[in-house]
Amino acid sequence: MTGFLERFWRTGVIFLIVAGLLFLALGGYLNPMVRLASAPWIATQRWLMTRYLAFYELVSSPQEMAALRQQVALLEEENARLRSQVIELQQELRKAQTTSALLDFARSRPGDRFVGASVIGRDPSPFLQYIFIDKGSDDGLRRGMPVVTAEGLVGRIDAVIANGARVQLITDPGAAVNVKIANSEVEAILSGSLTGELTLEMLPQEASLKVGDVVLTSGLGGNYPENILVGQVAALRQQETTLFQTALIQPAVDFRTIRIVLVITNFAPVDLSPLQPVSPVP
Amino acid sequence: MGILLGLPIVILLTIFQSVVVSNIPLLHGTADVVLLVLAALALQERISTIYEWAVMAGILMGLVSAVPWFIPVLGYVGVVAFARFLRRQVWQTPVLAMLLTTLAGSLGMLFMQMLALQAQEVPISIVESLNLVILPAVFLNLVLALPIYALTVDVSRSVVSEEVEI
Repeated sequence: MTGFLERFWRTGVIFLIVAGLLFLALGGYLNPMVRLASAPWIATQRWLMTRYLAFYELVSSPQEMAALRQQVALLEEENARLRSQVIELQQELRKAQTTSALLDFARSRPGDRFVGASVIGRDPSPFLQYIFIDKGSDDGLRRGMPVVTAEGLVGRIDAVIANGARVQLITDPGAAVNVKIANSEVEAILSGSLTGELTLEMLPQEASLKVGDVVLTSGLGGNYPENILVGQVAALRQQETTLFQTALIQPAVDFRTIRIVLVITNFAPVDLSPLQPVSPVP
Repeated sequence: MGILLGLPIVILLTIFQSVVVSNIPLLHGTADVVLLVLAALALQERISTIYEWAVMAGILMGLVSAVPWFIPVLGYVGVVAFARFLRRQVWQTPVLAMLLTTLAGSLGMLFMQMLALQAQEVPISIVESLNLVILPAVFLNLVLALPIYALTVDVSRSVVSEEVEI
């Protein structure tokens, strides 16, 4: 009997304690205690989670980095390919523009026949102004044929092999071109020089020239066809004590950047050497 | 290295000279890579057929250039002969020999070209040639002499073993 009462009281006390705690919890009286008790728990869990996430990133990141690196490499490769494609297209565009200009020039001279050629080198001697082109006697080129670009006169062929030719530029110190000033009767000889400078020699003192006058080939001497643009008068040198005046000419062609030229193939230069007087043998 | 190996090398050098080096002037002078390579090879005594190389280079240059064909031939053979002479005299200082060969060879070659062109009645002024072509070209050659010598020594060492006199 006493054992029954003891168990009853114990159960009753426990029930009352639980009910009291439940009552206090439902009433919100236990919140400070719960907060106090849960704070270390939450802190521990946060600490653990942070470490876990760090560890997870450490374990998983190399794979992501590798994937990213691979992606970067692919993009860089594609970027390089596109860049080279842009450069190629720009070169093609420049070539097309040059070709178009040359075609316009060829159309403007329907009486002439042209062969296009690329410039493939320059004379190794620094004293001379010659270029090499990639067309030769197989393409109908002959010695003495004039060479032009869309801008104007370049020079004439000096030597030919089967698939190449050497062109003497008008800026060469040994070159001489008979020219005339546009819209006037003035004619003169254009000479090259060591520096690539073009000068008009043998200009009469009374010839009226002014800066900006256009210089064209005159056709005299039979070396070049008539009316090909050579350049413009850039400066005049006049001295009263001399018989002739000289003029500095700005060439129409930029000889440093020349890439493609046209050879006039239906022009036959006249060989005047038989007409030149031979010095008498003493 | 024999004559057969020399021919493609000389052809490549001539093409390089015409396409690249001639387009990089200082004032109006340009370097002469063929001369520099021949001088560097002649100073090493590794190539017994260097005179044949010089003749080949000269003929090729003579064919390519509008300069009279015998000028490059004489010039390059002269450069090789001078380099060989210096090799025996100042064999302990090859760099000095290279610079001397470059200086003398460049001056000789360019003056010969100038005189040949004047003989052909090309109107070239000596003072203008000296100021605008010869001195800049010699300067460029001297600047390039040591790098080309070093490069040539390295390449020839890896290709040809030195001839030892017993």
